[in-house]
Amino acid sequence: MNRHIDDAVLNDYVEGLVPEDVAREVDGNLASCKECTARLEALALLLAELAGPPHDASPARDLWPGIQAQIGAGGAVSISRGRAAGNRIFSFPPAELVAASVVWTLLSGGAVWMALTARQDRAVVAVTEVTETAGARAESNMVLPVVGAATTEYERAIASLEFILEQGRDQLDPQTVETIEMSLNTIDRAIGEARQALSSDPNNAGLNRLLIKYVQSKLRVLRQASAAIQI
Amino acid sequence: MEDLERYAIAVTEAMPGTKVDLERAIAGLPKGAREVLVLRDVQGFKYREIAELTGVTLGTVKAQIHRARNLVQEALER
Repeated sequence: MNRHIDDAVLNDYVEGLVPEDVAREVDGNLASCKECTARLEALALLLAELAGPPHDASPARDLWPGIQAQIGAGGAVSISRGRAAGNRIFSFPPAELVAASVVWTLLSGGAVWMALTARQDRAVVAVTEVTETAGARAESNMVLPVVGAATTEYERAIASLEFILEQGRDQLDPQTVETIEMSLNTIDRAIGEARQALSSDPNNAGLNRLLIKYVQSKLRVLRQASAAIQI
Repeated sequence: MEDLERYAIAVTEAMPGTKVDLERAIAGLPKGAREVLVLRDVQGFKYREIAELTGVTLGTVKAQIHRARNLVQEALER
């Protein structure tokens, strides 16, 4: 009887991280072990659900499209920069940054959706075009010199949306404005912390990617808010 | 930050659609497990990058993520 596939190996196998000889061994096991096959299928399904968009006709009502927009930034970047793996490579403690990232990955899209009606009829077309270009640069070609250019383009788009929001804030319910401002303040704090960390370690690819994600989240919140304003 | 986490959980519980159970399962993870799971499986960071960001070894990150996935699966099965 075959041994069951080790949990760590199964996870690596699903993610395509095992060497060929191990993959062949796993394939052989899967061919004869229903339990391991079921574990594999469940794990693959979970990863697909975590990464994939929902089949939902109303994207503004769901926070997953926002998360989905952040997926795929898997450019070939090295974060180590000549230091030993496992060591912290910047002095600023990143725990707050990471925690903030996780919190408003869950929070920002959903909170603003909850505060706003799902009015989608007023697209900010020019801003969308600019930010999609920046997003493509930031995500499909994630090398460090590009990060600065992408964030600059995002910032231009953010400034435009902030102007729209400022002009139309009277059209929104005060509680809605409060929710939007809370989300934006959280994101701004995280952006500030990321920038502070980057000032000590400007070549840290992971921090640069975090900064991009924070800025993208701010943009997402502003887009949702602006879409509810009639100008 | 604790307030925000509570709020995040409240938000995810209130979200419509088919992902509610999954979002709730993620929100119910221990803080460290939730962080690494979201960074890896939702945001697509590499294991090495997560190790650098969180200041722990690559092996520890992988173990944390595997555990987090197991916890999410268990929560979904309940």
